[in-house]
Amino acid sequence: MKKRLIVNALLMLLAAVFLSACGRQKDTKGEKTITLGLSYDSLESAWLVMNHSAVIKEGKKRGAEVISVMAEGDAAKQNVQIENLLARRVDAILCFPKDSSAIVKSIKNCRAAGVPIVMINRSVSGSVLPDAQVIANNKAMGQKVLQTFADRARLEGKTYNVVLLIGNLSDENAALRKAGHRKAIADNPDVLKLMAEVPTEWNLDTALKGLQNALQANPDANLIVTPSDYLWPPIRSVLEQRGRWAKIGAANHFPVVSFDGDEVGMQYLKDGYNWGDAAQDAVEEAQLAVEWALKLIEGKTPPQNTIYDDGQIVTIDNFKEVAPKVWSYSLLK
Amino acid sequence: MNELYAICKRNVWPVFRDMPILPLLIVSFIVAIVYVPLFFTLDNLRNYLLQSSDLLIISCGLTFVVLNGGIDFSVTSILTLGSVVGAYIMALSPLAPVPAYSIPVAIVVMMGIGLLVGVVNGLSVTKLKMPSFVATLATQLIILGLAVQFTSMVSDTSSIAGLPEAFFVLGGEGRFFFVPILIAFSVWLVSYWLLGRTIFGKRVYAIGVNPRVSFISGLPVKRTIVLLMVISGLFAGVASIIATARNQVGMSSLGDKMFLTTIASVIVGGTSTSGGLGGVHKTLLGVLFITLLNNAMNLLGVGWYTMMIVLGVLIILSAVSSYLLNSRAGWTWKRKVADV
Repeated sequence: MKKRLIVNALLMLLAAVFLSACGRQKDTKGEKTITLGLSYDSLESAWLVMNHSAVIKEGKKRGAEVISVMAEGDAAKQNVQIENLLARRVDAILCFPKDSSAIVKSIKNCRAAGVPIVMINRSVSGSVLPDAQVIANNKAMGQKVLQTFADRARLEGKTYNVVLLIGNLSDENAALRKAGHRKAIADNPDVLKLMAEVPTEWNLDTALKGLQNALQANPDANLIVTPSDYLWPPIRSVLEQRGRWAKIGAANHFPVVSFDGDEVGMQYLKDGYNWGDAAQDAVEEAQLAVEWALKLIEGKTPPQNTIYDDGQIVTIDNFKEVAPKVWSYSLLK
Repeated sequence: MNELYAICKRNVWPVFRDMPILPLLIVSFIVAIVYVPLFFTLDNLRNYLLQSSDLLIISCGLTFVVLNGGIDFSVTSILTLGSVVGAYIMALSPLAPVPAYSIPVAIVVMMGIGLLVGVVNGLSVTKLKMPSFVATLATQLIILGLAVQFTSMVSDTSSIAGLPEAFFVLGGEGRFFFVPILIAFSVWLVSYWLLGRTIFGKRVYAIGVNPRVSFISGLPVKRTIVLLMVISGLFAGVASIIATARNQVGMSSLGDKMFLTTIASVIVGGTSTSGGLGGVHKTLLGVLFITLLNNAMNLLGVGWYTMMIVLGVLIILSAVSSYLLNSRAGWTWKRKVADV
C-alpha cells in the first residue's frame, strides 16, 4: 500500500513540477508582445537546424516571442500542433511543413482564425495557399548547378552517366529539385545521360540501400546528383565501399553534385570531393519569413505569394569568391 | 475530521487505487489551468477533445488485445492503409465525382480493411499458433508496404488530396466539431459495455489472466481471441476515418508515429501488459492524460524531445505501479472471478 502511495505521489509530483516549471517560463508583462508560432517538420539536417535557430533568433531580435513546436516528421501531428498554436492565440504562424498537401488543413484553420501563416522553405501549391511562402528557387537552382557541371564536362570533352537521388515526393522541394535536375539532363544530352533514379524518402538508410543497388545495376554510372547535402553520409559510405571515395583529380574519383550548401556539402567542396553545391540561404530565408510574418500582422501583403531565395551556385572553380557568401562558410574547417 | 477521513477512505481511495492515473490527471489539469496560458479556453478545450478522439478509438481497440495479454502492432498501419484507400475512393476513383456514393463506400471500405486485417491477425494467432506480436508485426509490415505502394501507384506524392468537403464533417470541421467526439465517446461506451456488461467481456479478462485454465474450463478461447483482434482492427478502421477527415488528405505516413502514443495511453492508463487487469475506463484516462500533456506542452512551446522523455518516464512509472498492483493481483482477481 505504501509503495503504491509513493508511486502515485511521484507521478503527481512529476506532472505538477513539470507543467508548473514550464509555465513559469512565461513572463507576465502588461505590454502586448507579438507572439509567433513556429511549427517545424524536423531538425534532420544541418540546414534545418540553422534555419530553425535563425527564425527564433530573428523573431527575438525583432521583439517577438517565438513558440516553437516540432512535428518530428509527422504531418498529422503538425496539424494538431498548429491547432494548439492557434488556441494559444499566436499573432502569426511560421511553418516548415512536413507535407505540402496535408498542411492545407492548417492553412484553412489559420484563415478561419484570421491568423497569417508563412511557409518557410517548403512550398504549397494548389488552390489554398498560405499568406506568403519564402522558399529557395529549387527548380532553377537544381538546373543551374547541374548546367554548370555540364558546361565544364563539355569543355573537358567528357560524358557522364547520372544516378539521380530523389527526396520525398510529398515534399514540393524534392519534386522541384528533381524537375530542375532532369531539365539540365534533358538540355545537355551530349554530356549527361540519366541512368537511374533512386527514391530516398529523405531516409539515410533507404538512400544507402538504393544507391548501392543503383551503382551495382549500373556499373557505367559516373556521376551522383543529390537533392540535399543531408544525403552525403550514404553517398560517402557507398563510394568508400566501392573504393571510389577520392578527391577530384584522383583516378578513382567519383563526381558528386549536391544541393543545400550546408557545412557538410561545403566542407566536401572545400576538400575536393564535391563538384558543386546549390546553396540555399538558411539565415536569409528565416529572416525573410519573420519579416513577412510581422508585416502580415500589420496588414501588409507581399507583392507575390512566393518570395524566392535565389541562392548561390558554388563550384570548385568559384569557391574562393562565392563560398564566403554562403551561411555555412564560417563553420568550415 | 475522522468521519471525513473515513468517507474518503471508503469512497475515494478505492477509486484512486483502481485508477492511479486519475489523481495525476486531475492534478495535471489543475496545474495546466493555472500555469498554461490560454489552456482553459473554449477553443482549446474543443481542440483537446478533438485531438483525443481518434486516439481514444484506436486505444480502445488495443485495450481489448492488451487485456488478453497480447499486442496489436498493426493498428497504426490499418490507419494508414484505410486513409489512402478511402482517400482514393473519394478523390480519384470513378465514384469520386458523386460524394453521396463515394463517401459511404469509402467509410465501409476503411472499416472493412480494419475488419479484414483483424480476422487475419486473429486466425494467425489461433490457427497458426503465432504469438500476437509476431502475427501483428507481420501484418503491420505487409499493410504498410501495401499502403505506400498503393499511394505511389495512384498519386505522384505520398498523400492524396481533393477529398469532398462533406467528408470533413466526420473530422469535426467548423461547427461540426462535436461529431468525432461523439463517435469516439460512442465507441468507448460500446467498449465499456462489451467489457463490463457482457459474458464476452468476462471471458476477455479470464483468458487474459490464464488462457490455459480458461480453455480447460470450457471457455471458447480461440473464438474470443479472433473477436478481440477483429474489434481492434475495426476500431483502427474507424479511427482511420476520423483521422483522414481531420487532416483532409489520405496520407501514407498517417500512422507512422502513432503507435507509441497509442500503447502509452493504454499502459499509462493502467491496463496491465500481462493481461487480465485494466479496462477502457482506464484507457480513457490514459488518452486524456497523454493528450493533455501534448496540448499543454504545445501551448508552452516545449520541445518534442522533452515530451518523449516525459512519456518514457511515465511508462516506466506506470509499469512500476502495475507491478505493485499485480503484487496484489490475487485480491483483484478474486474480485473479477466473483464478478464472472
